[in-house]
Amino acid sequence: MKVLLISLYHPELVRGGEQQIAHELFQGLRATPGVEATLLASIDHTSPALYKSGARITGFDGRPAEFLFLTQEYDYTWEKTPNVALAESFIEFLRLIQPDIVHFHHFMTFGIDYLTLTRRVLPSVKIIFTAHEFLTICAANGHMVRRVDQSLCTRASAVRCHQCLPEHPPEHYFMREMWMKTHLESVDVITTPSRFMVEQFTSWGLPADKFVHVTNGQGTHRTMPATAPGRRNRFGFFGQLVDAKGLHILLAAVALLRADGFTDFVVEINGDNIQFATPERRQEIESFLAEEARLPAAERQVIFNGAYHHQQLVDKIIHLSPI
Amino acid sequence: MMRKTNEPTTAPTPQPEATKHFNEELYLRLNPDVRLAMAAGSFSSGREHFERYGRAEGRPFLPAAMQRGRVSVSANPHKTREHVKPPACAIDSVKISASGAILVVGWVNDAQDPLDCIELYFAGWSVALDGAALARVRRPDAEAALATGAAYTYGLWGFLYAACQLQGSACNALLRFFSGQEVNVMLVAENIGDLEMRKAALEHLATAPHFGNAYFAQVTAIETSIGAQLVNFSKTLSQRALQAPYIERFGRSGRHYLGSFIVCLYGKPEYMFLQNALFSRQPGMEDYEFIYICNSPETAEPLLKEARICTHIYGIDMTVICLNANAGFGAANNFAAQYANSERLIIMNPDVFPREPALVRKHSELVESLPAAQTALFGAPLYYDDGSLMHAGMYFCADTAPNFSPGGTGQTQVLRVEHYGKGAPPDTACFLQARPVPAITGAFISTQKTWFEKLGGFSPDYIFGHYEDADLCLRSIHAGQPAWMQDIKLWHLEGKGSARQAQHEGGSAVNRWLFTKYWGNQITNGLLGPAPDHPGLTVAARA
Repeated sequence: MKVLLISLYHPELVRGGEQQIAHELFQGLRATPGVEATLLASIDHTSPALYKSGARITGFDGRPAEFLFLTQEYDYTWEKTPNVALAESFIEFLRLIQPDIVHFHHFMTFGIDYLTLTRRVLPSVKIIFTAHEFLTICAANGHMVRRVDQSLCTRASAVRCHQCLPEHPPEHYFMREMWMKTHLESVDVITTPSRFMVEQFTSWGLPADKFVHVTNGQGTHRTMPATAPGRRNRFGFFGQLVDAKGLHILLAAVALLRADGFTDFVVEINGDNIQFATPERRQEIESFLAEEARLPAAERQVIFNGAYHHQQLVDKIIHLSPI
Repeated sequence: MMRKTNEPTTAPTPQPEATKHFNEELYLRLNPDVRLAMAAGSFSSGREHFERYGRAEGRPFLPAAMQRGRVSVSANPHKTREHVKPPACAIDSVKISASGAILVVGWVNDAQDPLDCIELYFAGWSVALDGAALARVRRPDAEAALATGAAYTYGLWGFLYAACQLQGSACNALLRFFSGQEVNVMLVAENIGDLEMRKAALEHLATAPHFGNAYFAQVTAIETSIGAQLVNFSKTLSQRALQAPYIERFGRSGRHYLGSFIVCLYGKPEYMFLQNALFSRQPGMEDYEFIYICNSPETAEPLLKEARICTHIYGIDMTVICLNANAGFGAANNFAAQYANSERLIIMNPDVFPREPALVRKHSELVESLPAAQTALFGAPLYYDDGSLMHAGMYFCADTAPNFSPGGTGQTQVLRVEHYGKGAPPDTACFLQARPVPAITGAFISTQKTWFEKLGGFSPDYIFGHYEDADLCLRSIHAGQPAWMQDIKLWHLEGKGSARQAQHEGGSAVNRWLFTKYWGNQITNGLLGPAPDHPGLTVAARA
């Protein structure tokens, strides 16, 4: 059985949960007898040195069965790639690989219409799509957080989406929904890491029988050793330093506690991708961390450890307080 | 003192009795404007004025008993007045396009002495714009400068299409007034392209301020001459836009289809991939082709890229025609129809999408099963994105407003097109039933190709778009086949499929005037209102 995994970014190049899951699945499938797995991960302007003249799909650093999709001109409004050569290279790649299953872990940087393109090129292929967030429903980065008041969005609609993103009229979001749903029709199975997501998608109008709930797994890393009970005052943040992950809220909590004279705690920040945060949040986080770094070491309560690899996770967590 | 050139300038033969009784001081007392003109150096004496003009004008020169409490009229004051100062006026700009269109913009305080004409003199050529043919508009800046407090249309603009190659720089503009006064203005004319000229003229029409409702005032402003000149000019540009198109076929060639969707694009290429995505899911779509005709040359390259990608993803056979300029909705669709590989044209806006899963197959079945009279020309219910009805056929209304402009007809009538069921609940049965209607929207027209050709297609007279759909349907009624509504449902994101600018509003104003001019009499004779009793409709409904 041939499986082609399509991933937004490669975890070696851009850290992130979706690409990590896709890559771990790829590695797991590679180790499974009878399965021939191929990974096609996208790169963009954040990895300019990996673009090769005239190429649209290349290998990656000598890794077997791992390929890079060199994105260009991506249209984030309609979530599509208006580049003929990229589409034709993708078609050629599908025909060369001839997969039995194509598993899209995301469509961004490829295009939601690549689901339909895959179906057209390989009419009998099984197409799996893993929704890592709600980007098909929600144009506001797929977070389903209302930009008007930061409340959780319970229902997308043309007018409500226009309220969040007024740069387009309601008709745009009406069309966007039809556009997304049209392409999702090409998918055989949709997996989501949470049951809540299944409920959201089905209430949006997608058929429930297409959904399978699959939790995000982890590779077979070291297990956590048992720790002695003690004072629980050493906390850790692990994740991307982007708005939706909420680091700015954690830092605001530190400031509030400190203002109340409560200083017997430490927060360790582990993460990357602050370049994807909004300029306002990035400024807020970087200013906080810069001020903290200016304090004498003994007075620092927030420690920024930088990026981490998933294999380092246990070492990073082990000295934190278990909660 | 200036006089109109066509008036006599040599003294008439003196009459003995006048010579005998003429009294210089009495003549100047009875004609104070002549005294002022003499003081300004226009005449050496009252006698000279009398001999040259006064006698012919019937000016008084003999003493007469004055009746107290009564006005004694001795001559037509409008014709006899000698003006010391010419009316305040200015020419702001003169634009000339390569094909001979001329746009003049200025202002004049001619409330007391009407403007007769504007003459423009260039090196090697000249032209005169009749004062009555000029559009009159408000000029708040002139109102402030003159501070008369009068609600007067000081602003003026004129448009003339000479249909010959013109160029000019130094321009001598001569404003002639009915009194004989003249004002000479030297300026430098601006030479612009033809498309820029159309844009400038239509923008001026759309944006110039008026007293009262611009909807009527714009029509009044252009009805004497400018409307016809703009239509002729725009038609020339449309014909030119259709010359040397870029045409590319995507998908299969040489096939014959059940129908050809013709979509005219303007400004927004993305609707091609949206329509391809949604129509490609329709059963039976393999028997139809798309013909996209693009009125925006600047989007040709991304459009052709999209077409190539669409062919890979959706596989709909498609012809793409890119024009070198905006030919307008009517001319572009007529042109695209020539490339249809079927006997059925479906003229459709780019922002129209199927609302039902088997719409295309249903369309094929309707055309196959219904009497030809009901499918020669038919429309469909269109829906807003909010779910309510947007269109279930069209009917005509007439708006009337008083017209107080000098020489006007006393009223301005403008025909308006209304949609049946606009905003109604989606399943309102009376709007969904098959029936003949006065007109259908150009957003979705299914027509037998031979019938469309017999009608001559859309009229190319309308500028850019608007009203040509109603015009086509009215011609169809007069040819014996009214348009029908058939129940196949589509979405219509009205107005979102193109980028609308001020020049398009100007074009719509011209089209309002033109449509009223063409169809005013016929529509008021049995086709007015939502329930017209025109036999062309009632007979078809009974049949």
